[in-house]
Amino acid sequence: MGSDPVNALVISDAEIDRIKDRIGAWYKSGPQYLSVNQDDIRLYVESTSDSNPLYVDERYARETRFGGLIAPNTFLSLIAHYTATQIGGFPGAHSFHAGNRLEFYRSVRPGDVISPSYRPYIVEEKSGSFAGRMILVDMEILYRNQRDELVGKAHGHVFRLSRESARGNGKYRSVRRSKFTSEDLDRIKAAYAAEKVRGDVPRFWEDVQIGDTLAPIVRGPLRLAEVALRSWHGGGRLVGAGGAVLGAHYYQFEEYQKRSSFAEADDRTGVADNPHRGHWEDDFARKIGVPGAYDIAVQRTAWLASLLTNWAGDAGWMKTIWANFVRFNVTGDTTWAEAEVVGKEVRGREHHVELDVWTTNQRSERSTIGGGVVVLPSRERDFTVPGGNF
Amino acid sequence: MRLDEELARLNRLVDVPLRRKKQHELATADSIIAYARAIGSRNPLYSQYAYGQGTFIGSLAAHPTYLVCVDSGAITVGLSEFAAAQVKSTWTFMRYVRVGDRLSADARLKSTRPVTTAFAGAGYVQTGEVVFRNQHGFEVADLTVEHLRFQPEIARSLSPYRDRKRHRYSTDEIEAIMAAYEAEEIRGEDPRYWENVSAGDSVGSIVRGPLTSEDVSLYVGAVGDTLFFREFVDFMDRHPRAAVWDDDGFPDLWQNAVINVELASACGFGLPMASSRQRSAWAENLVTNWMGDLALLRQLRTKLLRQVFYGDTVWLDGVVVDKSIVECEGVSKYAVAVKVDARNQFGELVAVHYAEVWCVSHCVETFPPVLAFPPAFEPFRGPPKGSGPGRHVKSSNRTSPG
Repeated sequence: MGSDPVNALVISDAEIDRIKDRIGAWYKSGPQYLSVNQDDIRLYVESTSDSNPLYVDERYARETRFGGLIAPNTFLSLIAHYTATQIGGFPGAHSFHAGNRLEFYRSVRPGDVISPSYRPYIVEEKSGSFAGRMILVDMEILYRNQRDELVGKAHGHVFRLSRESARGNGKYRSVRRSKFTSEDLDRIKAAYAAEKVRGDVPRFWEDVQIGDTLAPIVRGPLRLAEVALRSWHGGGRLVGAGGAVLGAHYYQFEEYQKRSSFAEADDRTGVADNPHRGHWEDDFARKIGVPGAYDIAVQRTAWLASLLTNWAGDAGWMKTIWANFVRFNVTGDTTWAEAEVVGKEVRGREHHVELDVWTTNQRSERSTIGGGVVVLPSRERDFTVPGGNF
Repeated sequence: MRLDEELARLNRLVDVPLRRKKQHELATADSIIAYARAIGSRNPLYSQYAYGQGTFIGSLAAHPTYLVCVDSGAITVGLSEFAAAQVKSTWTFMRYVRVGDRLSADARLKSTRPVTTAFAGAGYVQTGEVVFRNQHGFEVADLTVEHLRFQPEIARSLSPYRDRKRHRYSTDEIEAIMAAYEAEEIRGEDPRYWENVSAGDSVGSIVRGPLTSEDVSLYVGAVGDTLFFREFVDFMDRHPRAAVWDDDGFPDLWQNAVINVELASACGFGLPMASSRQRSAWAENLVTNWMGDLALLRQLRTKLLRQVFYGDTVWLDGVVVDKSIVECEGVSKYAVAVKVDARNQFGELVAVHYAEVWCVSHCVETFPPVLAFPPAFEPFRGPPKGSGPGRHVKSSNRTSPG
C-alpha cells in the first residue's frame, strides 16, 4: 500500500484523516444558475442527443401532465456536478469519477432556481489494478428549488489516486483506438434513426414483464468535440471537466495561484494547466494512464437516463438511476446503452419497475454497470407518478 | 458536383437567408457571465450581475461580441472539401444586449471569390453577413466576415506553421504575463470624456495566454455551434464530403481543428489554435475596458495575420489614432478611433484591430450619448444604409491609422 513512494506522497494517512474529519458537514455550492431557462435545456438536450420533445417543444409539452417544458432529470448535473471533486484534499492526486446514484423527486422547469448543498459522505481507502492505493470519496448533494422543495439527490464518488501510479501500472496500455469503418458508421446511423421515444403513449406497469429488454440506443462515435465542447450550459461552464472548469486566461492564473497543488503544469510550456484536461487532451490522458481523451462520466449517466425516459414515456418518471463506470470511454469509442427489466413492485401508490442498465463499447466491453427505478402509471389500480408537481 | 457547378450554386445562394444551427436565443445572466469568463474578461459591466444592475443600462450587459453565441458568424457555404479560416471581420454595434433580450440572426452569403495565398495556394474567400436583432425587431449589430477556404492537402505542404511546437516559457516570461494580468485596467463607471482623449493616447494593453486547450474549449463551447452525436452523424449523412477521415477511418469536421491536434495537422498547422472570433473578442475586451461603461463600442474591425497556437501568448496594445464628431441620424456622436496591435511572444504581429468608440462628451446635453433603448424608449434606428459607422463631419487630432 505504502510501497509506492509517489502514491504515498499524495495519498498520505494524515490527509485521509483530515478529509474524514469533514464527513457530515454541509457546504453550499450556490446555484450556478440564476435561473433555469429554455435555451440551456435545449443545449443540454442537444449535447446528450436526447430527442424527447418534452424538453424542447413547448406546444407538445403543454399537453403533457407537466403542462409545460421540463428539463431532463439529469440536467441537475449542470447546476452542480455530482462528482466528489468539490470535497478537495489530496493535493496533487488525480480524480476519476467512479460512479453515481441519483434520485429525482420533482421536475425542473424554466424559471426554477436550484440551490445545491453538499457534504462529504464516505472517505474510504481502496486499492485497484489501475493505480494501486486509492481513496474513494463519496459526496451527497441535495438540490432544492426556489420553494425550498427537494428536487433531487445525488451521490457521486471519485477515486483519488496518484497520476504517476496510474500511468506506471499501465492497465490500459494494450488498448488501441479502434479502426472505424463505413459499416460502423452505417450501424450507428441506423441506431440513431431507430431510436424510439415513447412520448405521450403511456406505458402501463401491468404491460411490463421481468426480462423485458429495452432497445439499445447509441451515443457515438465519441469525438473530442463532444467532450471538450460539451456546452451543456450556454456559457460552457461545464465544458470538459464538468464543473471544474475555471474560466479562461486570468481566471486560470488566479485559481492556480490560490491552489498551486491543483494545477498540473504542461511539460511543453512549463505553464500551470488544468489537471482535468485528460478529458480534452489525448496526450495528457495518456500521461495519466488512459489511452485517450475520455468522456465525462455524467454524460454516460445522461445517455442511460435517455434510454429509460424514452422507454417509460412522459406518463412515467425515472425516479432513480445509478451507474458505476468500470471502463474509460475514450475518443473513437461508440457506446451502446442497454437495459433489462429485473423487478416490479408496488410501493404505496407508486408502481415501480426495476431495471439493470449498462453500456457496452464497440469492443463489446461493458464500460458502465448500473440500475434504475422507473415509476409507471397503472391501468388497474390507483396510482401516483412523481414529477408533475405544478 | 464539379467545382464550376459548385461555384455557380454558391452564386445562386448569395443573399439567400441561410439555415443556421440554433445557438442561443435568450441572453441570460449566466450565459453572459460565462462568455465574459471565456474571454478572460473581468469587466464588471459584463461579468457581475449586481454591478450591471447599478449602471445606466440597468442590467448586466453582454460583451458586444457575445452575439457570436447567437450566430457564430461562420458563413462557410459549400466547398465541402475546403477547410475554412476566418481572416477578417467587421462588427458594427447599434445596441446593448441585456439580460432577458431575445435575439435572432439573419445570416447570408454575400460573395465567393477566388484568391491565391502563400499559405495554401489557390482557394476562395467567402464573405458573409449576419444581422442580429432583438425581440423588438431592432437591429442590435451587424457582422461582416471573410473566411479563407483552402485546400488542406496544399496547406500541408506550403504552410509555414506545420512544424510549430508549443513555446517553452521561462520563469521571467511567466512572471511578466502574470504581472500583465494583474495590471489590467478597467475604466468602469468613471466616464471617459471625448474631450480628454487625444490621438496618440495609449488605450492600454492586455495579455491573453499562454493559450491552453481550456481557453479555446471554453470559448468555442460558449459559442454553442458544435454538432453533437446524432446531429453530427446526420450532418455527415447530408454532407458526406464535409467530413474529414483520419488514418483510423474516424470522422470529424475541419472546424474542430481548434481543439484537435490531428485535424490541425491535417490543415497544415502543427498545433491547434485559437478561434478567430475569440481573438476579436480579446481586442473588444481591451477597448471596452478602456472606454468605460458609458461609452459605446460602435465598430470593431479585425484583420488576422497569423495564427495563435496553443502555448502562444498574445499581447494586445491599443492607441488612439483619431477623434472626430460623426453624425448619425441627425445626432452628433463623439467618436474615437483606436488601433490595437496583437503580437505573439516572438513579437510577431498576429492581428490588427480597429475600433470606433462613441464616448461621452461635455458638449452634449444628453447623457450618456447612446442608451440601451428599453422598449419604452424611442428606438435608435442606426446609421443610414451604406454609411458605415457614421458620416464624419468634423475631425481633429488626426493621425495615420496605420
